[in-house]
Amino acid sequence: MHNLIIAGIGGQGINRLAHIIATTCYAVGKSCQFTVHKGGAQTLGSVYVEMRIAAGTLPVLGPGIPNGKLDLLVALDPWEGLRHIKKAHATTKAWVETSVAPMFVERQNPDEHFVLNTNPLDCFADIPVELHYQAYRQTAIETCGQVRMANYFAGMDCLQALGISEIARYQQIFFEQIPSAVQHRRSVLQ
Amino acid sequence: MIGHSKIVATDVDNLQFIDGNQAVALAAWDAHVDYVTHYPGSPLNRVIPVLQDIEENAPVINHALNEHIAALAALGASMSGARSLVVMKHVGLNIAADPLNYAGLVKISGGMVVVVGTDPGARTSTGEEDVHWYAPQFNYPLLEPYDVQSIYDTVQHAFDLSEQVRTPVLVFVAGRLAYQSVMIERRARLTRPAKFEFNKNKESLINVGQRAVRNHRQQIERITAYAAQPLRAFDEFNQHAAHGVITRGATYAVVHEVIRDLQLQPHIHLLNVERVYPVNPDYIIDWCRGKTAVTVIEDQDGFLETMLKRELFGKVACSIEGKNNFPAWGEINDQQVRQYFIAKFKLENPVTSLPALDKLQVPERPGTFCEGCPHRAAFYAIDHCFLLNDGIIGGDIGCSSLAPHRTDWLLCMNAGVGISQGIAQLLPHRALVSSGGEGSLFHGGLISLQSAVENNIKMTHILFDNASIAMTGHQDSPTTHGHVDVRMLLAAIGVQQVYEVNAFATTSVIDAINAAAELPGVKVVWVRGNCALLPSTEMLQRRQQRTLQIDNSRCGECSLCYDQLQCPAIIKNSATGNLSVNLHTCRRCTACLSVCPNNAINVIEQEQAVVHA
Repeated sequence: MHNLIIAGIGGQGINRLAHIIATTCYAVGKSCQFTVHKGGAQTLGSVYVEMRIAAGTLPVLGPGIPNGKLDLLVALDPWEGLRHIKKAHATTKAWVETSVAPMFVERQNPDEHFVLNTNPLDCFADIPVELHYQAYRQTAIETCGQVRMANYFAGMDCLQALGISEIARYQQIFFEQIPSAVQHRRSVLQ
Repeated sequence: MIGHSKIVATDVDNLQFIDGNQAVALAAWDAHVDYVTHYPGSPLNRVIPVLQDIEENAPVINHALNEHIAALAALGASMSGARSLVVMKHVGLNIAADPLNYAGLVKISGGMVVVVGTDPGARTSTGEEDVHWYAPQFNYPLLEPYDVQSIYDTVQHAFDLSEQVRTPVLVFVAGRLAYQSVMIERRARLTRPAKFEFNKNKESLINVGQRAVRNHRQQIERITAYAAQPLRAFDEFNQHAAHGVITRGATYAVVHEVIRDLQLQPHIHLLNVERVYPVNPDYIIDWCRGKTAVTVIEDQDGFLETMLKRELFGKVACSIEGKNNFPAWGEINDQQVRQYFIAKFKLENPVTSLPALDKLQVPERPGTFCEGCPHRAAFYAIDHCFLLNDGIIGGDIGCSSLAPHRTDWLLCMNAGVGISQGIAQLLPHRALVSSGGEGSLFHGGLISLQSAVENNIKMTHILFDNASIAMTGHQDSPTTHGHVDVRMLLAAIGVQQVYEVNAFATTSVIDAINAAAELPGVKVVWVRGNCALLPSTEMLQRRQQRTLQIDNSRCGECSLCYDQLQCPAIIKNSATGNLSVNLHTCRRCTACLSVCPNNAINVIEQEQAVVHA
């Protein structure tokens, strides 16, 4: 049984990635349910997906991951990773994007000063979980010339986190579900 | 009692994860729904797009301008023998309540299912109103599914049930289930002749005086007879346990998981109730036999607890608890349930969370206007006119409330134009504008504006027209295709003056607001600008052809673009304090140009490029 959170902000393809990971899980014999949280914001707010994955049939599980039960976290933004690491336990593993997406905080709000003067990656340094720093956005730009492919690379880490070795199946499902990404297929397969 | 089982897909090549929204749509279509009507609202904003995509045997879809109309239109369809579906969010049920109070009197012949998205925790709404109390008021059956498969099954069952009791049936889908995805098992689509006819039956359709009382009595008799039928519910764990737990809706799976995690299965008898109203008292009395205590765990006000206490008073030996242990606000979560059971059964908490993480500080990443949003530029103009003299800005819900700090209140639909009238009449010398989108105007704001006209109130309304119901997924509004002459419409109801302005030309918006303030009566500043997420060809060309740059040598550090316009594409370097434009997110609306008093923002035109929208 794995509890996975994929976190990021609107526009990064979090919801789509969750569908792809869930479909891949089924394709390799696992069961899965997931709940998307996107709040009221359409493009700039927090977005995350709580995924609950089991090797066999899923037991009855709540839509959300209970506190202290988060096994795996893949974050496409470090602030969003921090937001959910609170559910971690001693053996949680986290894959966290290193570049910080601009965070809009109501200007003149005291939080803005905190955001401007805090590097969320510094906050991760004191968290006692297994951390993997990743440059999904930079990798996407270097490989595909497009930041939107960052979710593809984050998805690869989801597979690793879940112990799924059928990468080809993931790639097939990814490009089937996101036809606009097909132009980058050759780049990422190389 | 209805059992339940988990569905596991076996054909991985035809996998399809279905969320709660899709489950409502597919269940209705599989149940051969003939007529669908709605007013868009999260968390059930994606039901209609699924039904719109159906090409063969598609139902007739009525995009109603408010829920009152939607409910009446569906009633007309079901009075004509059609199966009808009405979809709305929880607060929409308030708007639909007027006709729904009477729709039970007319003995519909086709099933009518009212699916309502509830929002405990207010994840997608301005409030978390508990609308369960409408069920006994309307005297309609209320079904509440507990997972996505159950949403599909329940909506299908609701059509049959509606035809059995000849009243509409309510189905409430909690927000966290509306966006949950699982594999579900669908049934073959029902074959049903589409034969519609309207019978002039005055006995049931003309409701006045003694006829109305008689039809009301008959409706109550039908629902009372239905209450005695087997309860749609299932039970789990130890039926001989002294402690019973009753759940409904989304709390079921949360409670089930905690009970299993704490290994309390031998000590608890769990009952999940899907038919939340009317409950079957005999069934519940029998279920309570042998128990010393029953705890009802449910979101919000404690509707089921209240109904059970009403039905079971003096008839059971056990205690019944509920909201004395759980809050009546927000979503019931695993921590609350866990703490309750740990205290009740004197357990040690097996969860091994990391206490150090509780101190982590993570700022909320709130919603705001998108880059290039016409509302941002318009609000800059409103602030410019009003904040300096402590003016009042009335707010409405919708995209114009995405940055909630820009107005002085945020409450419900048309609260801007409505509340402003009371203030304007009592504080005539206070600067004030009301605001609202064009979706709100056609939902109920028009009548509110006309009421202001009839009362000769001096006020200015800012009409944000982005040509779309953008907040809930870009459904069309009456201005999307230019069907409505807004200027003529407003003039016809007596609006004194209509100022049509381009949202991104902030100087024009400021001039219009100031001019309107000088005139008596009701004025409307019609601020036009397409949603940034539905860009026109011209907008796309602009993005390709233009680059924006802030010349920091000319920047006077007034910070108007950063602090007042508050465009997220304008970013501040925390080390130098210098401002720059993030060209990845900037949509080149150039609203910032008219804001900068130092001409420090430059537009660099690129070579012409061909762009296709």
